[in-house]
Amino acid sequence: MRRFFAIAAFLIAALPAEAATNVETILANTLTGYVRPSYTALKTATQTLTASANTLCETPSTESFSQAQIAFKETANVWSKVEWFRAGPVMNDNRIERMFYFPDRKGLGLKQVQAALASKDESASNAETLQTKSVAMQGLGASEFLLFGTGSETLATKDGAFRCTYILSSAKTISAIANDLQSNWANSSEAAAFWQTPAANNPFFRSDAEALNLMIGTLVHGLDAIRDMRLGNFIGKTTEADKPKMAAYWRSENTFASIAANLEGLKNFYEASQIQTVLPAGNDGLLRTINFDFAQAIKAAKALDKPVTDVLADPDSRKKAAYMQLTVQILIDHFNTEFAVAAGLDTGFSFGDGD
Amino acid sequence: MRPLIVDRRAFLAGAGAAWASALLPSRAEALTKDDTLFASAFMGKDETYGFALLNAAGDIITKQTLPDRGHSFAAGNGRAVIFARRPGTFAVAFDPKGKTGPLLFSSPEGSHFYGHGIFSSDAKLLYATENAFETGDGLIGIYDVASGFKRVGAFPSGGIDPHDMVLLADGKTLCVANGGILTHPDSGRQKLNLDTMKSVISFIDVTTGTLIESHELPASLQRLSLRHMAEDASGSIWIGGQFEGDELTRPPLIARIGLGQDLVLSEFAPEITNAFGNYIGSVAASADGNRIAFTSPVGGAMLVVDAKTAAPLETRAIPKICGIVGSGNGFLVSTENGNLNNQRHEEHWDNHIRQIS
Repeated sequence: MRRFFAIAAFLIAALPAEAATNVETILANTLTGYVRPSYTALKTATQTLTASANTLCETPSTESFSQAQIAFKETANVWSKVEWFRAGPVMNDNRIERMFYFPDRKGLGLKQVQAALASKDESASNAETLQTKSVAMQGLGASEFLLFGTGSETLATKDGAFRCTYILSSAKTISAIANDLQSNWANSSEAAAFWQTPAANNPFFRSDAEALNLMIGTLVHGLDAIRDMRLGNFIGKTTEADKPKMAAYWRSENTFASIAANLEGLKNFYEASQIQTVLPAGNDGLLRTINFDFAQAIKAAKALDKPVTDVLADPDSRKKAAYMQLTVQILIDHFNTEFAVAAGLDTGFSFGDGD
Repeated sequence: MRPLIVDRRAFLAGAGAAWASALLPSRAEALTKDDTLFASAFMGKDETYGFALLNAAGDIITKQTLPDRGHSFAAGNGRAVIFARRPGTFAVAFDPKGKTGPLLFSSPEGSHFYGHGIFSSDAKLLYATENAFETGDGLIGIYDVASGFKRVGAFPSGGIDPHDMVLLADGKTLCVANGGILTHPDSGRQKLNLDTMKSVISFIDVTTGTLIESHELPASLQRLSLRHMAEDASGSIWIGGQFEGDELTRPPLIARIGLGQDLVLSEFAPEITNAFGNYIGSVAASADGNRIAFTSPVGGAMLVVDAKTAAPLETRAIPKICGIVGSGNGFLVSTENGNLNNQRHEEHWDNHIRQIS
């Protein structure tokens, strides 16, 4: 039987000889400069959300309600910065869906949360049992409805007692996920060991080229998802086709802040990795363009930080949102073709874009 | 962003009419001979899309334009059809010999093609895997060849995300690989149900649309999407899957099944499984049906197994490989970076090669 040795040799040979930095350094940079800090920030944010929910349940008031809402948005935005990094432990135990079940096209989560509220279902207000229930009932999507949806005003009073304990159990659930993500990428973890050393038996990547493929693929797939699932799903071809209630976090009026965080997260991933050091000299123009387009897209998202319905109703704002979508597409093209080619990768179709 | 709406006039202008008369004599001769013809979709250097007719040596006989990216083919009784890649809504019927012009047709409103199809045994009907995307239900659309591929009906595919399918030798039992992954055109190609996805292999009586039997994977393989298949000489169906879970786990990707039999997973040595990168993109039987080949563009790997014993016969490392079809005593394989066996072309070959005559 012929062995699988040729691929590694072939692809490594295809990398530019004058690349300044080796791939293991880029991977280590990514781990220490992006993966671990992102999950640590998520752990902190979910702990703050849990504490805020606890305070709200113990001392319901307008102030404690407001603080819990603020902690929710902070958690949603911290998650948005790391949600498109889809390698390793986050792919286990439905962690992505349990953190944020989206899109929920059929309103499954909403129906389940409303049913739990109506029946005061104690398995929803207990973190241990909530983890075993539908993923749509567990994370940020459920919490958003509880904190911002119909009936949320009761949270400022004792009338919202059950609703509040459900928020608390949801916060504890996602806090446990954040803890797992942090510990599963710690120094002694299997994921961290494999991540830093491409090798023939490494399930992440068997060669430097495969590692670069995964790195660039993370950027391309993340940008694809922002284009399709965070912008394209509610901005129609015409205003009549707009679907504002399909936007992520529309109830908390956090849609564009979360998109800005999505983009900032991918920019952090790109910058922390120093992946551009794999390119040979002569690519300064490409790198400047990537930096410019990232900055433009993030600036546009931040400038639109208002309710989705307001953005769609105002022709200028709607144009800016469409422009942002175009900028995201330009970034995809930069990474998918120019950057990949300059990095010595033999490109064909989009990264891992099979069927 | 590339428009998804088919511009029918632009396509027809680009495709022209019958192409045989426009070919160089040497190429036209290839069409008139009884030689086996193959076809594959491709992306050109300028990111335009088309499909090419190929001979067994990997020569391009002719190229035709497509309005967007194509995927796989159906062939029968002197006709062939190429389907749009999901979530595309167009298909193009053509004469492999190029004597009559191509015919563009579409999936009905509210549904799109998944990229695969097959003709009925008498080649009067065409079956296509489809997504009725508002409900997410998988459908097998039925198209009548004589009426210009008018859609005349549909039946449930037995699951979500029907992809590849095989018509068994009895001519009436369809085996469908339902990948289990929910998508909706509003969200592009994003996967919307990975937490609950469930792949199903279904056997359906095409004369009635009745589900005969269906088979699911064990809970531990809930995130394995069974998508491509090929039939061996004994009538067993070999299936290749794509795993949507953690890369740190390496589940089995290859399964085998027959009507009235259980779904059997094939385990291979770790170095073989690892080479696939949890992804099989294409499955093909050798011309005699005694060997089955699996390819992975993610891992740049090809595996050939003995269809009788399931023993691995050959493994090869071929970067960007995906398309594969039985040809002569071996296989014709294509890569995203232009290779067709030993020939290099400028086209980026898409996921599948199929024999069309």
